[in-house]
Amino acid sequence: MFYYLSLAAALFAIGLYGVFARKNLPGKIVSFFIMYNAVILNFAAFNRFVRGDAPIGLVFIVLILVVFACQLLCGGLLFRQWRSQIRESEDNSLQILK
Amino acid sequence: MGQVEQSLRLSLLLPELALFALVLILTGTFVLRLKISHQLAGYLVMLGVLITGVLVVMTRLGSPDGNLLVNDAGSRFFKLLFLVATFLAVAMDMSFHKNVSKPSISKYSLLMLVLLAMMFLSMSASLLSIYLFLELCTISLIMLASHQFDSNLATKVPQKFLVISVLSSLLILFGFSFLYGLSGAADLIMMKLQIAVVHITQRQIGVIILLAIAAILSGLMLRGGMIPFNAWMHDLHKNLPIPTVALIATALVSAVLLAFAKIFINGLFAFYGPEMNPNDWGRLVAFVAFINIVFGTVQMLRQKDIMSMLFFSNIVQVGFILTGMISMNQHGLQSAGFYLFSVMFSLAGIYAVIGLVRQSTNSTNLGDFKGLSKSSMPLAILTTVYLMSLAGLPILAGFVAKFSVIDAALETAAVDKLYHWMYLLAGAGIVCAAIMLFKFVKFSIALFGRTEKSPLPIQFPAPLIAVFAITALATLFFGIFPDALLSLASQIPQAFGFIIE
Repeated sequence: MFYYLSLAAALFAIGLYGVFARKNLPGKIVSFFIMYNAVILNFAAFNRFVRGDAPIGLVFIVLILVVFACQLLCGGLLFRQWRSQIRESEDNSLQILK
Repeated sequence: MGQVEQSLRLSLLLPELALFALVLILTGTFVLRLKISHQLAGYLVMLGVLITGVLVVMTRLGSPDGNLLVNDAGSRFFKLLFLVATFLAVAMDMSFHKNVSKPSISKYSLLMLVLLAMMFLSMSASLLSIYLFLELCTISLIMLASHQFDSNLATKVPQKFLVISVLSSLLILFGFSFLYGLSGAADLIMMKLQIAVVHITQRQIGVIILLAIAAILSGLMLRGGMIPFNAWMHDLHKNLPIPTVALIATALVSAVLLAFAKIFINGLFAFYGPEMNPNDWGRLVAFVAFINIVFGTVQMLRQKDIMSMLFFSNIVQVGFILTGMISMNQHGLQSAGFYLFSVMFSLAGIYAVIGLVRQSTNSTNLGDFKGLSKSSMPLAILTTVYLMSLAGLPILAGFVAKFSVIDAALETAAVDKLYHWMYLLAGAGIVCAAIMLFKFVKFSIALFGRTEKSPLPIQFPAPLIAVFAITALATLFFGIFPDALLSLASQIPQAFGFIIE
């Protein structure tokens, strides 16, 4: 289990570094992916080695994936809104120039 | 027999089911593009919140599903807090609504989703449910924040909100994974027992527990916008519409503090106290409370904008509430609950005042409030009442809140020599409350000062009059007769397993 946890900790640290080092949104999203992998690996390892009566670690993993999907969807919607507003403002600027 | 038991259990979720029905009605109206006026939608939502409130009071206590959710007296207290905060935010939104091009129905359905998530969070008794409902609450709030923007510049704020919330969610999850690994359980009571057993029998979990505490605490601090992670929350305060800011400042911060209490006070009970050094989360959180109180006060003194000033004042209030929580005695938790409720009224009131003035001046500089009494004397008096309550002046609710929190901290400090650091926290609280009072008195005097500017055209819409009436009366009533709210808040320590004297 030590190896799994070490790998998870290393992945989490790399992801955390990436979140702060990257200034653009795609870079941050990739770093979040790495961090999510680390967390999922942690839950999977604990579920495999120290689980109690129920496989709660697996339930956690499913839940994490669902929440992550929601967060990505939310990010996509925000990005679309932002892009349409940029277009709108560009159109307005062109109208003013005309 | 099984069916009867099933229906009995479902009846424990009646308020949440009613609220969910309201969300479905609102979403259905939005999807079917039925035209409902903004006012009608607002009154419908307020009625729904009121009915839910009645159901919360009437619903009996118990666990609807076993160990994920528990409807105890403490959760009932927080449900009422969230309902009142949302009611006031909706009333404010009805008064300040300007953008008629955007449908208000979708906004209100998101608002109700936030409320639903917070109500479920108050019942959560497992790491799984705490994580799920904290995320649902935050995602709905992000969508709500993004709903209310038109300018290009402003859309960056919800994006930042999303990035920060994902990061905080990962930190919390990382900590949760270790707690699950140590205990093999997700429900808080089992986790508390298992971790204590592992600690006593193996005693080799020091680093892991420290990592879990640090990760969860930093995740919650990030989500709640506490110092030093306050920059993003400051942006939100400056850019979002007033009703949403009021909801975030009152309800979201309360939700984060509730999650903190559930995880640390309930789940990690065994690791509180100097004898648990270096895994003692008590001193770590005390340090967080201390920097929030001290740096929040220092930053507050420097602000020229009322929204920024209130934001840093909120940070100081969070520090006080944390002080109450880490006192870890019956009075501490009771006073923290009282504090949350009383501050909510004062904050909602002051944000309503700011919204009214901002409608006329389109600015929130402190200078714009100078001579407010010339425009409207009642508004200037109300502002003074709210600010004095936030600063902790006697006969107002804020005074009782601050007094009881500091009293609880002193009670813990007197227990043993090892807890003497609580004196430092209580001392910092008293000094910073005095400084805050000085700043707010100075500002309040300016409200009644002379000004060359012409009076502002201030109008009081009916929902806003209700907000002012509720908040001002509650601030005065709970200041003069605090026992009513204190007895309600006394259910919180009971729910956390403290023995009531």
